Amino acid sequence: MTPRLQVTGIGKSFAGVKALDAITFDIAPGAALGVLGPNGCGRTVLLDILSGLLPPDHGNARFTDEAGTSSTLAELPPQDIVELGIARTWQDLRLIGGIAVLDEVVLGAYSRRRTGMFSAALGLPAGKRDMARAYDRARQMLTVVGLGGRASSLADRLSRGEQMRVGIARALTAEPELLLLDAPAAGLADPERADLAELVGVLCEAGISVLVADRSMKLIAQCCAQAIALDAGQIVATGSPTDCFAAPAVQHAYFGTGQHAAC
Amino acid sequence: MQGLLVDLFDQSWATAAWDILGPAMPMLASIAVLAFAARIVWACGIISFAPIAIGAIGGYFAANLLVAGYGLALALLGAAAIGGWLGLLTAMLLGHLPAHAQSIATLAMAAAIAPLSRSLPGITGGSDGITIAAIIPMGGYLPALVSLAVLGAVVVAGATLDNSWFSIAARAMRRDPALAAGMGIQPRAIHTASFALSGLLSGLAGAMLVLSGGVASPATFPISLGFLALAAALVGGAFHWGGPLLGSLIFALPSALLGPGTHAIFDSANAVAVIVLLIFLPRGLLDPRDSLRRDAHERRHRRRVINLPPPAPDDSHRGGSSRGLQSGHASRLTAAIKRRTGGAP
Repeated sequence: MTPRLQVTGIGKSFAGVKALDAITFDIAPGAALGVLGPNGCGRTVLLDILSGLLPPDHGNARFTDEAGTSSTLAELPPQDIVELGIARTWQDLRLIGGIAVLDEVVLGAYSRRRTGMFSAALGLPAGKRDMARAYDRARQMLTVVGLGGRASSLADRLSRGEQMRVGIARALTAEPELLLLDAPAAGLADPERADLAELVGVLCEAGISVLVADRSMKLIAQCCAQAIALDAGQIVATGSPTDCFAAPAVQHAYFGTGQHAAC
Repeated sequence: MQGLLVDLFDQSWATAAWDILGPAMPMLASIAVLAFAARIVWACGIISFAPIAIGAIGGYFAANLLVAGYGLALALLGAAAIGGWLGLLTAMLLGHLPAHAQSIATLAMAAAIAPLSRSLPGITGGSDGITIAAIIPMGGYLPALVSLAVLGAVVVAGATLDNSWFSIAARAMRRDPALAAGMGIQPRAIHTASFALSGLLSGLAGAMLVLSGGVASPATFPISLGFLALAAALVGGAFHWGGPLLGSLIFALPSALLGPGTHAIFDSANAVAVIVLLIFLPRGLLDPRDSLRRDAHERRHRRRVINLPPPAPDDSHRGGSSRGLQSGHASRLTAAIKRRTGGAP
């Protein structure tokens, strides 16, 4: 089976400091891959490159959609990458704020709009239908992430865990085939983390590939069959999450010693 | 139609209202349209003084068309068209700059208008300007009704625009251009569209200003009017489509009603009001967030009254309803939820 995402030798430096070096991995359709590593290991830079916000210095990423069409991501702007079927969340959530949860989520449907801005602005029927479809889709995705009852709440008033799910719903509204989650477990308690892992499982069962980039070993163990561990921009371990945790390089990166501890 | 208008204005209450509001209407409408123009660019996170600069060019253009005998409708359309084109040009020239640099550049544009118009008497009539009072009688019904009609159309368009992809995209851009790009939005396209739309309204507002005063001169387009329009948009509520209208009523109505001699008093009062209102209501008088808060408060109150438990996030992702799902993507997600939880398909 052709991998949904093939990353080959991606590297990125900032002012001579290597943020990523020769990163290579695959994600199969409907699979979840964990990207582990301590703070500053290069997780977010990797996601920024995959979503087109940063160009890689070298290497490439190839995305293959459900229809079997392959595209090279390094040549594409972020807008085209979203339209291909890759959506992401953000470590700092980046909710707009001051608006209802439903309005936050409908933003994700922008890349799937069927009418131009002016037909909506002029109040043409096609534009109104398009907006109604987008809001329906946003409501559906809020239900999927378990926030169906919060559509009219002010997004700023939700808990960190709920806000993260708003971010996931927003990304899902773009109808992605590959979802990139940036530090989704940050600030979550154990029950919320378990719910998040369950949600990742649901997404994978629906055929969506998920890249979970987080420092939480518990989350990666709960929702991913495969993982890679990064330290200082390099892959230091690959395999099952258990294998990755046991790797001395990972232990050293996290704890500075060979002692295994819960994280 | 004319008979109906005459009948309407023959009523004593209508005559009284007209005596008070009629002469003030063109100026009020012009400022409101300028405020809408400022709000459109602010929606993308840019404080722009371009509306008064573009408005001045639109105003001179309309005055020249009127003097050349092209009629009021063509003068208004021409001013809107040249305004839209200038907005597009401004976006192309400034689009690569950070937001604060764009603001300063538009401020420079606004500051350049008065000296430039004095130095081009062939086009602008110099310091005296171009008088249109002989073509459009001032103080009659026509300027007031035309201004009201234009303002009505702008308000309807503003409300429609607020519930469109443009508004959704602009909101994301204002929050963070990287977020917008990550959501599939082309920031440059939204930026260009917002400046072009704003320019169109600015040109129209410039023509209306000429219509309100009967002259297009440097004094018709003072830089302080640009500040007033921007303040009206921000204080009225830049997050709400009705904000510019409310702000214009608050700031422009008193001085427009009481006449030119009171401008200095109201300018000072407006300055104080802007500072006080922005300190206590930084999101403006009309804020959609307030209605969300009120709704949440009412829901909590109703729950207390009928003794319901507090709301919890629904558990539908663990086997909830699939009603309303239509797309294959959403259906697959729901099916996965049901498979996982053993729910009925």
